[in-house]
Amino acid sequence: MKKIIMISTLAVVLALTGIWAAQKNTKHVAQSEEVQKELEVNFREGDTKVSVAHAKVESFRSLQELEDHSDLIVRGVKLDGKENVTTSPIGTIMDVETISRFQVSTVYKGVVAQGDVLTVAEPVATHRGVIVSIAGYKAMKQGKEYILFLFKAPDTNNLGIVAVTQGKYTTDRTVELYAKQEEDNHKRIAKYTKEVNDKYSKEQ
Amino acid sequence: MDKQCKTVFLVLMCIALYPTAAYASSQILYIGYNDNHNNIGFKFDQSIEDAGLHDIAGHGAYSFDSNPYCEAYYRPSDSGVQINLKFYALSMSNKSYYAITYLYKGSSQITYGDYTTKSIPAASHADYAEILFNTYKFHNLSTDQKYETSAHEMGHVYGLHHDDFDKTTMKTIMYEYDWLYSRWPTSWDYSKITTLYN
Repeated sequence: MKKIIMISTLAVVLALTGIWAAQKNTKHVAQSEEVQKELEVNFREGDTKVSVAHAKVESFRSLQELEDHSDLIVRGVKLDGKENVTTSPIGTIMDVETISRFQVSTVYKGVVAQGDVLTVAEPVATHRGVIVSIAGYKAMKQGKEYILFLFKAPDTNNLGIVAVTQGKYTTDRTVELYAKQEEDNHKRIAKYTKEVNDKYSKEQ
Repeated sequence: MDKQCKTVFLVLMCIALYPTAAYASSQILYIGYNDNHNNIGFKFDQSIEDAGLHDIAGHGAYSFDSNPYCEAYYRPSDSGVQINLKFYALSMSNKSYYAITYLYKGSSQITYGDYTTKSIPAASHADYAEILFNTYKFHNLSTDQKYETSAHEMGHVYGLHHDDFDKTTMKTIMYEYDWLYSRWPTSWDYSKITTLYN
C-alpha cells in the first residue's frame, strides 16, 4: 500500500509539472499571436537599430538590362520624404516605404523635365524605432545627389525603384547599403555604382 | 513489487508523462539551443487563398522537411495551437521584390542585443515569421520560379541567409538575385541547416 501511495504521489507531481510546462508553452504561443514581437536586428545606424528583411528580388544581369527595364533614369536630389508602414491586425509588418520627393537635374531616359519633382517609393521606413529595410536598401539622404532607375507603378501616384537595391546609386561613388562589405550584395552594388557613374558622368 | 502494483505504476506513469510529452512535441523554442528539432506550425491568411497561392505556399512550408531538423505542420485553426509562420499575399505595385520574410521574436523572450551577440545566425532566434508574396511581381514568374521562391523564403524561416556564390561550384535555393530552377532545396542547403542546428 505504501508503494502505491508513493508511486501515485510521484505520478501526480510529474503530471502537474507536465501540465504546468504545457500551459507555459501555450501562454508563450498566445503572446506570439499578439503584437509583442520584435524584429530581427542586423545592423545599427548610429543609435538606431536596423532590421533587414530578407527578400527575393527582381534582378538584372547587366547595366543594359537594368536600363531596358527602367521607365525613367534620372539624376537629382532628394528634397524630403514621408515614411509609411502598413501593419496587419496583429501589428506585424505588411509594407514599409518612404515616399520621397526627388528633384530632377538630368534626364537620361523617360518623359520628365529638368526641375520636375518626382515622388519615389523607397523600400525602407522606421517602425517602432527600428529602421526596417527591404533587402538592405538604405534611404536616400536629404539634399544628396543620386542616379535613380525607376518604374511607373500602375495603381499608385509614385515611382518604384527598379530591382530594389540595384536601382539607386550615389554620385559620390559610395555604396549606401545595409550589407557587410564581404557580402555578395555589397560587391554587386559596388560594381554597378562604378559602372553607372562611369557611364552617366560622361553623359551629363 | 507485486503484479497489481506494477500495473498501477505503469498506468500512472503513462498519465503523468502524457502532458510532458505533448509539451515537448509542440515546442519550437528552439533553435540550436535546447531543442534539436523545429516544429513549425503554419497557416495561410485568406489572401493566400484569394490569390490562388495555397499550393505554392504549402510547398514552401514543407520544402525543408527532408532535413531531420525541420518539420512543418499545417494549422488551419487558431484555437489553442502554435502558429509560428503565417503566409500572406499582397499586391504592392511600387515594390520590385517577389516575396519577403519578416522574422520576429516575442519581446519578453530576448532583447535586441542578444540577436547580435549570439554565435549562431540571428534568424535562428526567431519564434515567429511571416512570408509575404508580392502578387504584383510574383504573378510574372513561371510556375517553377514561384515554387522555388516559396521554398527560398522557408529557408529564411529556418535561419538561412542569401548566397549568391558561383553556381558552377555550389548550387543553393538561397540565391537572392539568381534562380536555381528547382523547386527543392539542394544538398548544400540541407547541410547548412544541419550545421546551424547540429
